[in-house]
Amino acid sequence: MSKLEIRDSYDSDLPANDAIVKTNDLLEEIFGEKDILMIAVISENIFAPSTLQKIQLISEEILQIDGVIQDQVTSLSTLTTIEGNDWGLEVGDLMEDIPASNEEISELIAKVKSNPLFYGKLVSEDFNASLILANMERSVDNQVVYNEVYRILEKYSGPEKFYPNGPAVMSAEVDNGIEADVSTLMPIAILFIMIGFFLSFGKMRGVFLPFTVAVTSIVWAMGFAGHAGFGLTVVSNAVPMVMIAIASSYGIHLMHRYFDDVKTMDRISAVKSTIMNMGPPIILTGLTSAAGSATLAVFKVTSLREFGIITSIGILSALVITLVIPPAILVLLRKPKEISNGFGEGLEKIWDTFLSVINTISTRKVKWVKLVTLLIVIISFVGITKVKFGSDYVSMFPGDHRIHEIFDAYNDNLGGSRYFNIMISGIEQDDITEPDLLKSIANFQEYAESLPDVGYTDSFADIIRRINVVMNNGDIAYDRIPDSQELISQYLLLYSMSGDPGDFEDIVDYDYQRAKIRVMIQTSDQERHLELLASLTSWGKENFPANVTIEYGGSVMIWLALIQYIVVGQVQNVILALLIVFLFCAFVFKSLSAGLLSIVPLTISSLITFGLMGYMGIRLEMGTAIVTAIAVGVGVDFSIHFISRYKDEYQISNDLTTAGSVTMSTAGKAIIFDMISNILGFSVLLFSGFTPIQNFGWLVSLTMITSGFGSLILLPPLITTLKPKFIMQSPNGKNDTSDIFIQNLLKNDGVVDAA
Amino acid sequence: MTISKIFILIIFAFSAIWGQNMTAIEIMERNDAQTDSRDSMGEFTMKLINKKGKVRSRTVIQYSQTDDNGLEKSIIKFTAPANVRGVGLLTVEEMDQDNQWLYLPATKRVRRISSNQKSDNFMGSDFTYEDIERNDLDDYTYNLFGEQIINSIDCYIIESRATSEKILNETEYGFTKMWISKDHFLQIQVNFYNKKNELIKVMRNSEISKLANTDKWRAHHIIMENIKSGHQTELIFKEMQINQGVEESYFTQRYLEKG
Repeated sequence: MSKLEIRDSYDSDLPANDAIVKTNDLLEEIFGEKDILMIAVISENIFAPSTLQKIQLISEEILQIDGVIQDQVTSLSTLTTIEGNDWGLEVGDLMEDIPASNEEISELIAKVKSNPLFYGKLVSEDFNASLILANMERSVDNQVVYNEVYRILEKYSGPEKFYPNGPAVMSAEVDNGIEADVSTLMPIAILFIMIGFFLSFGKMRGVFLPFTVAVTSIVWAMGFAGHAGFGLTVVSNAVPMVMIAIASSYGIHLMHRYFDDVKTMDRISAVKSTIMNMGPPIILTGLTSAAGSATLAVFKVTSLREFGIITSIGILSALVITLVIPPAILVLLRKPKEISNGFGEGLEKIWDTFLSVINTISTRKVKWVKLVTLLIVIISFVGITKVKFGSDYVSMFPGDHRIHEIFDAYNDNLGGSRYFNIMISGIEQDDITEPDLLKSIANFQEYAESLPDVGYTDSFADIIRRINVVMNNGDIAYDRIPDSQELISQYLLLYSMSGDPGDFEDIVDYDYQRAKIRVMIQTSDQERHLELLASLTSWGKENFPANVTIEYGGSVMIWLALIQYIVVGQVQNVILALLIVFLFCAFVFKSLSAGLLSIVPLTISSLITFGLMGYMGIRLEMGTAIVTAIAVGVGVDFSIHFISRYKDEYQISNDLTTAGSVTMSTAGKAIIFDMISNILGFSVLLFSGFTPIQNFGWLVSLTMITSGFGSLILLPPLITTLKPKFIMQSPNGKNDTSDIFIQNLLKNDGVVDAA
Repeated sequence: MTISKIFILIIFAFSAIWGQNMTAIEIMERNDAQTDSRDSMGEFTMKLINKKGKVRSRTVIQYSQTDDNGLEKSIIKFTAPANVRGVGLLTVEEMDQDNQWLYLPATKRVRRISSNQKSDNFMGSDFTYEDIERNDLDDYTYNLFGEQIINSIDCYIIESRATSEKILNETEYGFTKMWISKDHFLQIQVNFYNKKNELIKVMRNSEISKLANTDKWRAHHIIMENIKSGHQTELIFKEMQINQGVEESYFTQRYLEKG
């Protein structure tokens, strides 16, 4: 477990051969692997001397942070400009000193206004906001940078507001969230479960032993994850909770059987009987749950795949541990003292009443059941068509997280903090200095800036235009790309004379073959991202010269790419999960119709869940994509318990109605208790610091409820209507293994035995 | 032995010892003398190489002339690649400032450009103006640290620190360490350290040969490597001449445009 490292970036979540990952890798290779640290300064008037001074001081202090590349802090206080006038060309600092007089301030403002390289970009047009940018090496420690930046900004807090942003800051926020989750969710989950166990059994060993199972299986699962090199991600944090919910079910079943047996037998026989009777059903339900999780491996998204695998391993571990450790310990302990559980008895009466109501509905009001179910299915389908896919970084955090304030500040005052990195490639060296290509780039930028939600754009073409203006004495009629390639090359030579050899390495490659356009986006709405991408792509196809390649990259693209993988994966996953469960049950009951019966409640409950997501606007993304697999794997237990008990009761009474009502009051109760314990476990996730995980928590809980009640309400009418052979036929006297298996299943049935 | 012979012996001995025990300042004076010239002409290729090994190559002809007051004039014209052929930079040093004019053939105009800071990069290379300009020995202190053979050349190792206030304000270097060849008193290697005593640049000179019609020696291959950024600049001299006379008219705006 100590090998586990937090993995907070979604770049590595896509398969390496994905086109977008490849584009991003290429972009990094060519334009450098620097990350940007941004600090937005929001103030009534950026040009107030006191604000300017703060900007200067912060710019200087940022240089001290480990990982910030020297000479690459850009802000009002560090900018150099080339000005052209009658005298000639002057290269100098934008701001030599903090302006003191009103005159000096006006001068500075005029200089900024006349320079489109930073007016409207580094400084907002209304002078309410400015940026401080720093380039950082890739290898920085995000947490260190995050802490240092906030420490520095704390010193200068005042009427101005400061908002840090950039990949390091964003990653650190995710890291902090993951750590917070790890430290808050576990204790809460443990508390809930211990309360649950205590209420069920009223005895300490009833709490302690299942608890041991849960914790040990979590350790095994996470330990495996560490050894396998999986990362701790936003999604993987849900693993312990899932484990707790599932492992506690097994523990409950086991302990309940033990407490019953130990009333009548000596302790060793009690333990033996417990294992013999509980072993098969626990194994069966464990295998189905593990298989359900394992179907997540079909996703090409790494976090989801890993989650599925870890959970599977965890469930299998819980299986093994439940059958080994508690019995071993129980053998060593004395018989427990009898404690009458008045509370428990009272509760049981409530359940009994409740279940007989359900029984009535499912047997007598069959027509209503059919009608309502049909209605629900139709409504759900409609809901499903409304489901939106994918999400943006910001939506991971609950509404009150400060990240929203930060992004809003950038979106409202500056050009936004999200962007597309677009790489334009010519064929040969120096192609980028071709006037036609540069003009296309400039036009592309103009088009992009005309689209709503686009803040501003940056590219190599801007530099050339600026030089053209400067070289013509500041005449803005020259704010365009010149027609001569020689002139452009010479401008570049001029510019390089006042800069560093490394200048421009962010925006054009060394051979002048490829250029990068950055399009800043002012929205976190992924629908808009998709629309913008579509607009830009189609404009690009029509308006660039034929042999030019245009590729799109940047972290927004990664999020958009995830959509595709999540949707495809989800469809494959649902089908696979249902299929596996179908096959499993068909195998166990040796009947295809048994398989079908078991998946009916599951299918309908999944439909309801997706339909609800559509109506409520909950998007299908990282957190919600795992719902079905887990829900199917766990929910199938309900069907299995119900069907097998039903079959057995029918063999005893040979009457469908009696079989039904007995099943309802025994297996039915077990199902409800199981449902409740699972929901307790999953509801802990509502305390997560990440919205997708919160959504996962209550969606899975909801699915538990719908599949649980689905089993109780739908299976009786289905069985009575269809009269499937595997139930109707009596066993042929031969004791084949599956019959024994099933007999054991029904003997165990549940948390509560007595009818 | 006669007394005079003994005398001569003693003098020889003295000068031998004298020769071996040169002080730092003496070495620097020899270096200064070696690198001094009234005028010069050079035709060289400048290669800018980024840390990934990508190269931008330019060919340049340069003329310079120093007057009796030590003020220098120089003119640089690009001859390749084709797109920048004819670009020229004229620099005229005056007592308190430098004047520079730039000519871009595609604009057909000569323009003045403002003076540079010492720490600015020269023509986008890894050389700063400070690196290129000749240092006044009075502005620095020199210490002799020992001797070392590098690239098969026996050298003195000298550390140099700026003492003049003006230079200290403008320079980015804390000190430099120079390997100066014993035979020709030329810099074979220079390590540049910033004010935090970190190594930031290394310059290596090679292909040292005597120039025609003079007794001066020069390196014909110079590499300046920026340790922090991984970028480097290579100067390869095809032709170099000193003190052969350069026309005054070369250092005019007119020549910048037409010549």
